[in-house]
Amino acid sequence: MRTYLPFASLALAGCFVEEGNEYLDVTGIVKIPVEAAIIDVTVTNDEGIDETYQVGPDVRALGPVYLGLYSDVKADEFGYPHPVLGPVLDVETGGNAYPYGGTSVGRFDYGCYEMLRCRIVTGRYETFDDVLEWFAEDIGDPILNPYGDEVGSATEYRERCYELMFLTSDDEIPFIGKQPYFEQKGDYFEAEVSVLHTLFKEGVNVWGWVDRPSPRFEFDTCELAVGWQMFYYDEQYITGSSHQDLLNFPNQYITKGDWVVGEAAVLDKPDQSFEVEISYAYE
Amino acid sequence: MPTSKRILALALLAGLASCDREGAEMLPQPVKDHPSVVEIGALKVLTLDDYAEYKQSEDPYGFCGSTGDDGALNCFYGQLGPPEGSQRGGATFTFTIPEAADGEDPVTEVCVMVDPETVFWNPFLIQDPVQRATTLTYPDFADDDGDLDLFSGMSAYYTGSPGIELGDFTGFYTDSLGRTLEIEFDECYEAGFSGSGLEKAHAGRGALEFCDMRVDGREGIEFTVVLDTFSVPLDDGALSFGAMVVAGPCRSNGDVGLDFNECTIKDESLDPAPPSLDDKLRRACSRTLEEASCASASLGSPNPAEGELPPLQEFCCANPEMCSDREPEDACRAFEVRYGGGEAGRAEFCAQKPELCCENEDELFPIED
Repeated sequence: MRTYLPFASLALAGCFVEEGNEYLDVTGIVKIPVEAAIIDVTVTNDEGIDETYQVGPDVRALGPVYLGLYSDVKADEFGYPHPVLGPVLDVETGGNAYPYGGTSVGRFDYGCYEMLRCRIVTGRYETFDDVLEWFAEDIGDPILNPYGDEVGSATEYRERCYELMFLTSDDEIPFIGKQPYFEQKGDYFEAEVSVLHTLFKEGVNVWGWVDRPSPRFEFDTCELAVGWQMFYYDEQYITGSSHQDLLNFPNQYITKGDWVVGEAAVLDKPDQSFEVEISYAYE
Repeated sequence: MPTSKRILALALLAGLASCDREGAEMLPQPVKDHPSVVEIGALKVLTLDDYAEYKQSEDPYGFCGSTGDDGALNCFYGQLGPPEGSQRGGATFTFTIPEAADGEDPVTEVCVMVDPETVFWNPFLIQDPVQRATTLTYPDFADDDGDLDLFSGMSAYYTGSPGIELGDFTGFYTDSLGRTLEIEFDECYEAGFSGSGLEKAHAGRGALEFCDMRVDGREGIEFTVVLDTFSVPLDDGALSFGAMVVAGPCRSNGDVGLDFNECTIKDESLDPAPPSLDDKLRRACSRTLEEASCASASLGSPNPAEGELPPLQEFCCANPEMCSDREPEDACRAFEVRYGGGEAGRAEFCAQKPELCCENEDELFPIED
């Protein structure tokens, strides 16, 4: 017994070793004013005339919310709060913001039809009907199948996804079947968010923005030329995905109409929960 | 001592004896005292007209050795010795973006090029005997090939001591929270193999290496180029190379002969033991080897044309001393059918294709004294 005790003490002491790991998980809440979820939509009527109207507030109007951790955020460089940039190595791209880590609330997903490339964001739709209704009635741009006919029912939509991607249940489809990430609380849509495995330093700033769509419901942070390749009979195209350097060069992708975090949350401890409000409309 | 133990003891002794090798044959042994780190000085940014003049010149060494009003060389030919120990070896030079004259467009891009000696290729391993007859199956003599890797950036960011120690273009940025990041200031964009997506690739041994640099708005700014020694030819321990800078993007300059093969920078293979290190003497038959390589490249591979033999294959069959001595048995069968075997075959080949015959090199590609 006496022999074991010192070993047990030593083993316990090992549990108190400070690993010095600077990469940690950070959690918090992101809030978006409902006003930001009201968008202008333009459709061309049968006579070829563009008509513009407003839709929302609706979370389906919101593109992905991008959040990053940065050393500092300044308000005076781009006309909206923006992370401080490193040296300018390329005149076209400008400086790199060198984020410590980051995440997004929702991401672009392939919506099973070519016309939905870069237009479907996860965590925004509960059912296939939700998607069909949004595009047909709110956006005024009904979903068309490869033959040019309007997709008429959720069943047709589901079968298309199952066949195309060899799926057997709605659980395997990331863009529907789950609760939307955002919950409306008063004048805000709120979502819980975790930034996993980020470099943490005392005083780090949590900052981000929401990509709002153009009047034709297209998003600046999505790139049609990246993503996985669709090969299905005569359908051959790339399904689209986010640009890979969004958090490094936010100013390259933030355009007028987007909303950004007005005041970055400053974290002194990694277990400190943050709350950021995407309150600044860039116009 | 039992017999088995004696055998074991002998085996151990034999094993020890096998350790008694230096492996020196795997390291280049210099035949002349070429320095391992060289500072070339300043090179001019050649215009496309300058490059066309170079291509037509019968004296590439003389063309490159000429200087402008600012003392910058047109281009450079030189040799490097192997680096010592774990030190990096190589050459550095600078170039400055010229101010645009009235009415002229400013230089917005430059193409930096280096061609290490000599010519390298992989033979085709095709097995079909019919196709082998018209395919390049003759292997390269790899021991006469060297490799230099190209890097370039603004001289202000260069960390080396020209002529003494090779450096790089690494800088550091410290953010407001004290995090220090390493930043690469090398701007020499060298596209990798098609589809690879690589922007900072390097060419292999013997091959021309070139990179694009965007220099718009940087008139008067000096850039440093680093030619980092990757391998030195094993046969003589001297790495010959030619280097130049041409205005404009690399890929769109094909009209003036910048077609990126062994003939883009010609005659870079120099005599490893010249009378003095300043002498530029072409290594025998190396130009003809380059011409054969370029002729093969322009005809396409593996089969240049119906019934035709790849020029490089013919060259090797006629001049086996310039290629590997480990050629396949059937490598020259088609050559011998066409031209005959032995010296008679070589003479017939030289008569029919004098431009690929070593004996004619000085006459066809003269270099003025």
